[in-house]
Amino acid sequence: MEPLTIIVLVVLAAAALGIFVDKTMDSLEVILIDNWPGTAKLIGQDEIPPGGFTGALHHNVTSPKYNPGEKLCVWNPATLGCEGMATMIYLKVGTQVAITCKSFVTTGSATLLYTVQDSPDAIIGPKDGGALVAVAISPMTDGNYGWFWCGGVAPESLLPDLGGTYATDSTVVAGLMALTDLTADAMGLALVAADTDAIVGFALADDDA
Amino acid sequence: MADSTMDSLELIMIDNWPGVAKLIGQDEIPEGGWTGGRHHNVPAPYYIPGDKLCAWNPATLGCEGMYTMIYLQLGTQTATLCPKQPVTTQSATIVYNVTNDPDSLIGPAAGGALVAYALSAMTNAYYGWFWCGGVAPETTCPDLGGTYVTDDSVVAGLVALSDCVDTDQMGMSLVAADTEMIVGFALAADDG
Repeated sequence: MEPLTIIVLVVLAAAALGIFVDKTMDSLEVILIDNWPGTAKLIGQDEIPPGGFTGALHHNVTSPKYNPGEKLCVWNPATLGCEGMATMIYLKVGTQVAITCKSFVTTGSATLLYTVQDSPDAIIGPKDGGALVAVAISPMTDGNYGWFWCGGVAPESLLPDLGGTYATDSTVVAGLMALTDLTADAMGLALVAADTDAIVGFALADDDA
Repeated sequence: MADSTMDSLELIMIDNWPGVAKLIGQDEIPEGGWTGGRHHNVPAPYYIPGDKLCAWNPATLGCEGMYTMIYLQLGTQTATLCPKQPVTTQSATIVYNVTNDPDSLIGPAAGGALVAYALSAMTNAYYGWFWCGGVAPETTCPDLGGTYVTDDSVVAGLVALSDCVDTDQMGMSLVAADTEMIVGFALAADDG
């Protein structure tokens, strides 16, 4: 049997056994660690941007209404999701594959730190273990500016669409997590597995593998 | 390897807990100090769990510099919780519920990310303040002065949480694996 045929059979068998198959974990189990530059401004509920973080005046807009890279830290009440602090960052979408709510994004430009994208094939830095990670809070248009979740608990009371499941590569156990290139053409979370992986989050439980 | 200790002056904590701390002045420190009876070691939370406050430790006692305190709920404790004992997450649903027991925590016993130090003895399920970042605030919490448990591996540099097996409690160790979170910085080696 040809070596290539053997490799293909091994991969197919692994897929059939559930190895390499992406999985998910619940939003309540994900705590993101913010590695983006600078500190967030702590704001009260009455200081959240007009219309909420997805307000049309500032989110998914062609001209930035905040400084790209600006971060706001706000309390997520217990109404939905984990009670606790969440950090949001204002970023620009570069060229995307298909950003939806709960898509992971990272740096996509060698000159503009705050330009991000969701394609593991076009990011700056390693596909696995990148340091600057955020989560989209809605679909967005290429070249537009808007808010992303980058630290703390998922702010579900403010953004209910962030509730639900997040993509993993099926390796996550309670503890430290890194960014990874999923089998699907997207990024997700994985167990930290190498000294080149930046720690971008903490899992309160294993994924659903 | 026998457990060891390091001095409070040599330990700088790195805060990995969610969100940012509110910077406060000396006159904004909670009533009665961090261990005040109205808010520390109380059955009902007086602050929101996860609330963080950052203040200045004057040079009166300990290192001068900024420190961060976090308001947490103690879950269940193993050996009686005491000042200078580390705690970490215990609950898969409530991130601010912590334990000092290396056998019942969430995440790795060695290398966990969310770490804080107790200021005093506490009752199970009670709420209170814990030190989680910066220098040890000895001027406002003199009981945080003295020695901290290590696993005898610490050298000047990065430290991680560790299961100190001699004493069935957690302590600090040298960061030694890619799965270990950096939770502090040691200004000197432990006492060996």
